[in-house]
Amino acid sequence: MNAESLAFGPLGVLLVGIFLTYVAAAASDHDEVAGWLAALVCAVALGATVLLTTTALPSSYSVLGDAGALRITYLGVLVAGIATFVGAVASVTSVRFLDAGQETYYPLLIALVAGVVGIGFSADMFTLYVSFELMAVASYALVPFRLGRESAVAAGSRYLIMNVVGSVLAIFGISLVYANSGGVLAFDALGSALVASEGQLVDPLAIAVLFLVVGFGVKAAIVPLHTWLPDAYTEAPAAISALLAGVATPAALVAISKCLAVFPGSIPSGLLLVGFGAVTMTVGNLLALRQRELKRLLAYSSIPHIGYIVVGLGVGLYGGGVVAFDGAFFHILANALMKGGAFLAVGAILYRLRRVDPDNPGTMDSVAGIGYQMPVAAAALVVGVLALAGVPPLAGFWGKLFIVVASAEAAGTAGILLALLVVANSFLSLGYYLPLLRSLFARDDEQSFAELRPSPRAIAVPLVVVTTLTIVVGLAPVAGFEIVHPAAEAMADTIPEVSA
Amino acid sequence: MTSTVGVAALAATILCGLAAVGLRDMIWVVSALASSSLALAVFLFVEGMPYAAVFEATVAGGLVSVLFLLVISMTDDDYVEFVRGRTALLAVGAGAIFLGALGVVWQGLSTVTLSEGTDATEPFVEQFWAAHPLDVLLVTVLVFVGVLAISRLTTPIGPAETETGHADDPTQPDGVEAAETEEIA
Repeated sequence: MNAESLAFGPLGVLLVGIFLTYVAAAASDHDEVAGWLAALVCAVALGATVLLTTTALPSSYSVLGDAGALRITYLGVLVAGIATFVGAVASVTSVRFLDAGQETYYPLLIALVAGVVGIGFSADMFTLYVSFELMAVASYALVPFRLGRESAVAAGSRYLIMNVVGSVLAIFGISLVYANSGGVLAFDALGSALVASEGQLVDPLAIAVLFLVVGFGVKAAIVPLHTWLPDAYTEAPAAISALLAGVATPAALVAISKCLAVFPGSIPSGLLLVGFGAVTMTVGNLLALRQRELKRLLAYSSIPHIGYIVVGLGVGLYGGGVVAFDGAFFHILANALMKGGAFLAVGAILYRLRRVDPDNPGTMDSVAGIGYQMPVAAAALVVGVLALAGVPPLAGFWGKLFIVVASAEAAGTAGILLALLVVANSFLSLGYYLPLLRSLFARDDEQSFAELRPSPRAIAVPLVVVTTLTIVVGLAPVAGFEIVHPAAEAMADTIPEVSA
Repeated sequence: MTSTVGVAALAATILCGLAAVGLRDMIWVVSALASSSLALAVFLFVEGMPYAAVFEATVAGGLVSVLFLLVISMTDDDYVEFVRGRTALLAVGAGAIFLGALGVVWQGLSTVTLSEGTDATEPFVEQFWAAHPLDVLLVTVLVFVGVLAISRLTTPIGPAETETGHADDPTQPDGVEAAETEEIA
């Protein structure tokens, strides 16, 4: 196999997989065939991604012709690895629980994963944008997938409206870049092609940065562009919530970081991200404190984690160097495991609970003591939630630690204040995570879940895998940093010097 | 320097975008957003990004607007009433507009040379493919995914929509798991 074929492997497998899963679902009476095929497609794409690490990176490849189209970087490999892994887990958990005749579910799921992989490997801004739209269009139908529920359709509607506006702003930002770079959009050439304007009242590149951050920031759910997120994550099927929270939203942050990394140092893109990140984590935590419903609480708690990552990326772009990117990328990796596991665990609990009690609201009070009856799901939720809170030595701790260290070292007193804000937010999150944990194992004589059966095997096995990885990545962070550090180093190398 | 047409298109993009934010009737919101996308497509075309213009006009201005309308149709009773009885008329009208727009775009693109290195006599499609093969492939897949999304959003909602499924536990026969399957699916 030549290098070009290898480079196109992960994306090619997924693109073919979209058609294959649709044909399998349409031709077979059992949707589980398509589900297993989707899991296999993601697994093969994951294998192809791992294989890419054996090649010399970073490298640009021309595929399907002479024009350069794919740039295989460590960041791309990281994003593709996470996306295909979570995609496989989401496919497996969905496999036994899908209604007959829903042949579009798995192709859309694969398309979402393919879009994320495209974002990671895109060699220029336009390919990145098309990949972003592939991910977005697939999710437009997956969020309101339960069309029988009015609330799901309303959530899908809001999600669609906000993200369409975001997409228009993003392509507008890209067109501004194009107009100011002399027609260059390739990431490896943009750094030298973009020159900040001197003596102009408003630098067009600064406006382009703003459009890109706001445009992609809608999908990333950066505050105040987050209003679609709580309803969308709550109403989407649990596997899709896991995919959105663990993969799609961080992919938008990767899109932002790839775009902003090529701008001249005089454009304060890092500061802009730090500002957005600080507001996002604080507002997200405050909003989550008021939530009582399990899935909605997890949805709201996704917002501060976006904030932590944005702060890390911002500090890195500001000049915080490799440590900041290490923290941000490690948290993207950990977030996929923690959030994916937590959403699937809550999904498993609600799935069993509403079978015996259809009207159960799924609040902390109404599930008090359920952990004794569903130990696997409860244990997975405990690990996921503690990791999300940043409790050492679980996966969520190390990314935050590096972001705190990088913030404190980057910019004197302001940096120390930012680091303290990250720490304070981490403690603040215990305010809603601890009551959730307490409710799982509370002794409530009035409530009995004796009729509940343990988590279905099709969910329990992926849950155990994801939870084990959350623990392993926490206990052996070196393994995680070996994955993310080359990506962080490559990103830091592309950042232009901040001009005085 | 941006031409007069480009400035006008830019102004139209911003005005239509603002209108989309300000309007309350969802039908007009969709129309304003689609118009904004089309104006942006003109701007991109004038600025020398014909492939981005084609993408913006077809995917953002067309496909996403259709998805938008479908989602609204499930939430807005007035829209359902409006569409009822006019389906054929609307379909013919939308088709005519789409084909007309496609013809205009194609006519315009046929005069375009994508880059200085390419042969001006070479058909546009071949130039387009040679310059952006992966983008063309991704847009093709994107259109297919858009059709799947439309297919999903237009699926009739019946009893099967909420819960059937397969038992995951060998102690329970298939079909018993009917309830609540949606929560994890």
